[in-house]
Amino acid sequence: MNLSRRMRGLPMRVFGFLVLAAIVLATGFGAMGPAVPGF
Amino acid sequence: MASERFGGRYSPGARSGEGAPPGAAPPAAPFRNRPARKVSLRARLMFLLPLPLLFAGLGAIGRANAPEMLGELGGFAGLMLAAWLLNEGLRAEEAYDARAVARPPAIPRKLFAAVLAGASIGLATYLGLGQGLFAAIAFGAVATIAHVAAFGLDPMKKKGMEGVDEFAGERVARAIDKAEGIVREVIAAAARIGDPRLEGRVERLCDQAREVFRTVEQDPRDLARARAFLSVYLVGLRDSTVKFADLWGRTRDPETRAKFEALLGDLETSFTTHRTMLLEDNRSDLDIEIEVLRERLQQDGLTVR
Repeated sequence: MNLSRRMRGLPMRVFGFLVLAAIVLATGFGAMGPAVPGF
Repeated sequence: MASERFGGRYSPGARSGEGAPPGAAPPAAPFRNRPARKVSLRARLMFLLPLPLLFAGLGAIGRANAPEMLGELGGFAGLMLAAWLLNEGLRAEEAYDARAVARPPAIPRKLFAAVLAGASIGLATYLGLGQGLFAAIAFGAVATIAHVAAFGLDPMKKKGMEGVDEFAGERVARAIDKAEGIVREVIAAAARIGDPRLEGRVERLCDQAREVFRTVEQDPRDLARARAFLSVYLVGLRDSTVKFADLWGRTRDPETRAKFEALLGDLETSFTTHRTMLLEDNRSDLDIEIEVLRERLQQDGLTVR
């Protein structure tokens, strides 16, 4: 696979990862919320 | 004044008892056919991100809230499993990319990882956060889509089998899968010897075997001959390496070591010549050589029978 082909999908992959990370973290911290005082 | 190569008694390649530079010249390209493993930081991070869910689950246990605990710990376990599947899927994809002829992986690991991640998020949302079913499904669906966008799907198509007939292509791919498995066993056994120099020699033999795989992949007609070659060599190499690693670990017997080194030397020379014969379609010579090698392996008693 050449570099330009790899680079083309990069923004999408990074965006997908950020959305996924946000959902996973939000679920985790959201669930943790009531357990942590003042969160 | 000539510069002197650095190396001491304990340097790899040094002869025991003297600080002389290594006798054998290093091979021209020691890392040929050995691409570094790609490690995706993002895929590794997927192991870290679900951690808050674990703590939330522990908090739920503290509050004696069973459904919440189930949702959170279940979601955590699911996401961890998804992360593992994802990393395995990426490794399988890398192996697929490295080959000229390849079948798609039997289990679409990345797809399973995406679905599992979505289901885990849905479960954690529904039970852990106490949201409705609609919210759970929406979060799960978005997580699955984001997972696919971030890491893609598995290779689903057969590669390099268009021209040759289906059956032959399948057979080549299967034979090479098996041979690659043996190579991995050899490398694992070599690591147990605990001698970097011997380990390096064994690994170089494995590289040469991989070169033969690539040759066969390009021309599957060679399979029948290559198979004999690969089975005698690789199985011989594996059995003797495993046996030597066991013996060396227990006895440290220099005589066994010398025998093993001699065998490695033999294998090295015949590997090179046989590869040329394999390329030159020199069937009878190859058959004779294989027969000789088989006897040689039996005589040494280094093979497991």
